Amino acid sequence: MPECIKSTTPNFEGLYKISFEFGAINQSGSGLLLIKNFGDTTYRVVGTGISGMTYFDLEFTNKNKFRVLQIFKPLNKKRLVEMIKTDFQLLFLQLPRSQISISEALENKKFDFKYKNSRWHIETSIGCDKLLNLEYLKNEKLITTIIIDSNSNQSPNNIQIEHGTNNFKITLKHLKQ
Amino acid sequence: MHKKLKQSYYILFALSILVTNRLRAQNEIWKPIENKTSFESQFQKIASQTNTFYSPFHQLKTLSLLMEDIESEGEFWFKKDRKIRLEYQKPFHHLLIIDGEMVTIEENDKVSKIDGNSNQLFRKIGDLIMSCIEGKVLTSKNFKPTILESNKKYKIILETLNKSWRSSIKVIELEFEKKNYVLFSIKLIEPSGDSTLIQFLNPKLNEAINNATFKK
Repeated sequence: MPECIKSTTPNFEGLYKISFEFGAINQSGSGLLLIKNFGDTTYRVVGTGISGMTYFDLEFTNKNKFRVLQIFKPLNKKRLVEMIKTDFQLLFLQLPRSQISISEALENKKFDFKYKNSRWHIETSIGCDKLLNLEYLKNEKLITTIIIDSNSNQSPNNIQIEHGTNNFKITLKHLKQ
Repeated sequence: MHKKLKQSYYILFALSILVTNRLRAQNEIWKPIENKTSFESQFQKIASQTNTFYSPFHQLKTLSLLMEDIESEGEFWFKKDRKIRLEYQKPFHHLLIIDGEMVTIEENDKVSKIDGNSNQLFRKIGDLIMSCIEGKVLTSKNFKPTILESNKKYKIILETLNKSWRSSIKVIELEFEKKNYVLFSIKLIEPSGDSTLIQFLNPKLNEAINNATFKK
């Protein structure tokens, strides 16, 4: 992984308000999301309703492994779980070893990762202090877009995850202590 | 007193109250209830006489493996029959109203109305809180109750029997004040060990609540 991307990895500390819309299975809701990093690239992601019921409890380990520890029954659909997995792996920059090409513009740097028929676009600030946009494409078709609004070296203020085709949207808003 | 020092003093004072309260809760000694029949009849009697219930509440979600707590606060209103208003103020504003079978949710100034019959989750939560106040939990086919008592409180431990309940909640613990049988707290324990504790901070029974409270 290029040093520039490593240095932009957000810390995700604190609590987020999550709003989600999973059009394909007609589920929408809001609640709280906690992301816990275990020092390396292992993350636990726990989403709960405001009344405390757990929506999902997921584990992303450093070798791109993924485990569902708990999921609320109406959300336990294979396609949905696969989409959540892909999105958070992208957010945590857990990408397979792949060919990289780099381009620079006036205000940003773009990294293009390619592995088999998948591609990942990662955009950082020119000074490598902020992660800006992330994209995942399969067979050259845009699957996921993640827009990150953050100040450098802090938890992102807002994260928006969107799928172009599936009416699938997750919005995370950092709740200040 | 210096402003920062004064602030620190208040924080320490608040923390000491919190710690003392927690220790008190942990030190409570529970034993099987001595006179179950008398408890049940008094419990049903008080519940049948409860027409309204209001209380501010504090909610603590404990994620056991992560050793993290998530705190929320709000207010709760209940009125017979089947009217509930659950309003969260922290960590963000969220309003849930159940009026009969109709569920209304307000968040970010957006109001949505849902038919409670078509949404299992809302039905479950609504039915549970209402069953607790109306005293129906002891006779529900969904739960196997065990009743305990301490010096000051009664505790009903409900083991969930219904398959759809068991997938999300394993055990429900309800605590009631011994002196007046008023609901003190609800604890929902999930199969993973994570739990949600809702404590009613200043419950008021049978005070007038306007029907407009349950409209949006």
